[in-house]
Amino acid sequence: MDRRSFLGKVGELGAAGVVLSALPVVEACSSVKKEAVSGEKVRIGLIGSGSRGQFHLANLQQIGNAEVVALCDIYRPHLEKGLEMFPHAKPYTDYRALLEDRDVDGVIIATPLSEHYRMAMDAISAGKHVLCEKAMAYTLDECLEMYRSAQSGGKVFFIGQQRLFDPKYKKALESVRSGEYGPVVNVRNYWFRNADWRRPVPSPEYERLINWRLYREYSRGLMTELACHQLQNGIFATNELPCKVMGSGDTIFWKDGREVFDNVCVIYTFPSGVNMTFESVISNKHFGMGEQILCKDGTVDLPNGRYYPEVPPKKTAIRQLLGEIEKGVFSNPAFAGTSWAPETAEDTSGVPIMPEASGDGSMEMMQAFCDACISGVQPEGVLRQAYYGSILSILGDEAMLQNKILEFPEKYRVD
Amino acid sequence: MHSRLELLFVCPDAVKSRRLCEKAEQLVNSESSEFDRHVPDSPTARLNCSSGRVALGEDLFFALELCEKFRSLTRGYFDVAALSTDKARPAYRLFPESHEAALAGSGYLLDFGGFAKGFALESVRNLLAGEGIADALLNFGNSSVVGMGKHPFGSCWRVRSEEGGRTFVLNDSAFSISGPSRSGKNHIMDPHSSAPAPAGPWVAVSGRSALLCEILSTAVYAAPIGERDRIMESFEGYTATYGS
Repeated sequence: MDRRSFLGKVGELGAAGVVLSALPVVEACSSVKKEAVSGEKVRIGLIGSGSRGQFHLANLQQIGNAEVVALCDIYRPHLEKGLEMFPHAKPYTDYRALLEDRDVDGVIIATPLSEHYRMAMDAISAGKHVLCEKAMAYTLDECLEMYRSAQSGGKVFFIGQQRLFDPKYKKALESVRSGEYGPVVNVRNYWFRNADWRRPVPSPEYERLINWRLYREYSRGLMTELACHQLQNGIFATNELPCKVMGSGDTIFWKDGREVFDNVCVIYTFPSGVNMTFESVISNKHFGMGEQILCKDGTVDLPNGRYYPEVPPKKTAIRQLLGEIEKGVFSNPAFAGTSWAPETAEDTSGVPIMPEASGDGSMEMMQAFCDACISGVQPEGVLRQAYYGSILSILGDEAMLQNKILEFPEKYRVD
Repeated sequence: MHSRLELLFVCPDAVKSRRLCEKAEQLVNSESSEFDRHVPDSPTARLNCSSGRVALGEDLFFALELCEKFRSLTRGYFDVAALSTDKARPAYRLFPESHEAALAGSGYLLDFGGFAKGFALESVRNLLAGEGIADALLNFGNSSVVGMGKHPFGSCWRVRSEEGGRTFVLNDSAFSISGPSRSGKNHIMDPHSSAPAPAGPWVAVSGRSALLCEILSTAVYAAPIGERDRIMESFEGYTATYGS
C-alpha cells in the first residue's frame, strides 16, 4: 500500500474510528509564540515535593520565565527538600491554602494518583493554571470530569505526559502519522525492571504514604504509573482509539503485601484490527523499556529515536560523511580499507531519527507549561491526548481486574 | 567493476548536480563494460578469448599502453597479465594504426583489477573539474579515494583507515589501499611467481593521481619487502605507508 492509499484508508475509517485531529497534536506543544511570553514570569506553586516534585523543581530552576513561589507537602522531609531548592518559596502543608495564595498563577500537582482528581478540580475552581502529573485520575469518570472542567475552566491544563514534548518522539510520530513508513501494523510497549519498586520508609506508619504506588487505594500500579506514557503513543500513531481491551496481571514475585500487580500483559485492539500491547514485569530487566511502532515498511523505536527500515538502506561512507557535513562537522570518517564487499547481512543499527535530541521531554514540557501560563493559551490537543492515555491505562487495569474483554465505553470518547 | 563509486561534491545547483551524477555513472559504466573481463563480449573478454587481433576503444587501448609502461616502471610487479600462466613479457602487442591489440600467446589472461578503479576515478575527477566543481570526495570501494579541493568545513579532506586508524589527508590528491580482502582472501598475485603474493599487512600509496596510487599500491603489495623502496623511488610525490 503506498502512502496515498494508506492516507485514503485512514480517511475512510470515518468518525467512528478516527478520533484525533489529523494535524499533529504534538505540534501544538510548541505553538505558543515566544514573543507573547518574553519578559514575563509565571509564579508557580508545587503541590507534592517528593521525588517527582523535586525533579520538576530541578527543571524549574533552569527555566527563566518561572518563579517557584509556594511549596506544599504533608510529609515534612519532602517539603524541606523542596525549600532547599527554592528557599524563598512559601511553605504549605495544606494544598487548599496554597490554592488560595493569590501570588500563585499556576500549580504543579505531583501527588499520589488518588489525589489528582480532588486537587486538580480544586485548582481549576481556584482559577489556577494546572500541570497535573500522570495518570490523570484514578477512575474513568474522574478523568472525564477533569477533562470537561479543564476545557471549560479557561485556564491552561497539562497532564505530565512528557513524551508529547520530546522532539524525537514528535518527529518520529509525525512521520508515522504521515504514512512515511507505511501503515501501522502493530504497536509494542514494554517496561521491564528488576527492583521491588519500593521507597525507603523511616518508620512503618509512613509505608502507605511513601509507597502509595503499591496500594490499590492510591494507585493502579504499573498501568497508571508506566503504561499511560506509552499507550498515548499508540493512539497518536494509529490515529484511532482501541475498541477492545484484554489483559492479565498478577503478583508473581514481590509478594510483600503489595496490592498492585508486579506483572501485567495487556492487549488493545483498534478498529482497524491493529493490536497494541503493553507488558511490564518488575522482576527481570533484561529488555528494559521499549516503545515500538511497527509499520509495513519499517519499525520506529521511539525511546532510542531510531528507525529500522524493513529493507535497510545501504550504509555508505559518503552518506555518513554527508550527514556530518550537514551538521557542520569536519570529520575524519573511518572507511578506508583494502576492498569493498557487498552487504549481505541486515543493517541492524537503524537510522537515527533526530540524533541531536536529548532528554525525555520533561524540560520541554515544563517550559511549554510556563509559556502557556503566561500567554494563557492552552495548546490544542495536548489535554485530549493525555486524557486518552490515562483512560486506556485504567481500562487495561479494569480488564485485568475483571478478567474480561472490555469494549471501549463510548461515554468516555471526547472530541 | 564489482564495487561501488560514491561521489560527494559541493555544488549549489541541484539540477547540475543530478546531471553530473548521471554523467559520472554513465562514464564509469562505460569504462566498466570495456575493462571487465567477466562481462561477456566486453573488449577485454574478447581479447582474452582471441588468438588474433581485436579492435579496441580509445580508453582500453590507452589503458593497455599505460599498463605496459607501468609494468616496466614497477619492475614487473604491476602487471595486468599477472594471472597468466605464461611468464614471458610483454603479454600483448598493440597496433596503434588500427587501435588493435593481440595477446602474445594462449597462456595469457588480462585482468584490470588494480587499475580500473583508479582509471575511472581519474575520469570522474576530470569530468567534475571540467564542470567547475572544485571540492569533492570520490570514493571507489573504500580502497581508492580522491579528495578534490577541500571539505566544506576544513582545509582538506580527511579519511581514516578502518584498521589501524591511519589518517589520510587529501587536498587535490588520492590514496589507494591494497592487501588481503576483508574476508582474509589474498587476491593480489605476484607476477613473477604467478602465485598469490605472501599475505601481509595492507599497503597504502598516497599521491596526486588516483590511477598511479592504485597501480603502485598493487605493485608494492605484490613485491618483496626489499623491492618496495626501489619501486617507489621512481615515483616522485608518491608515498607508501604500511599497515601493521
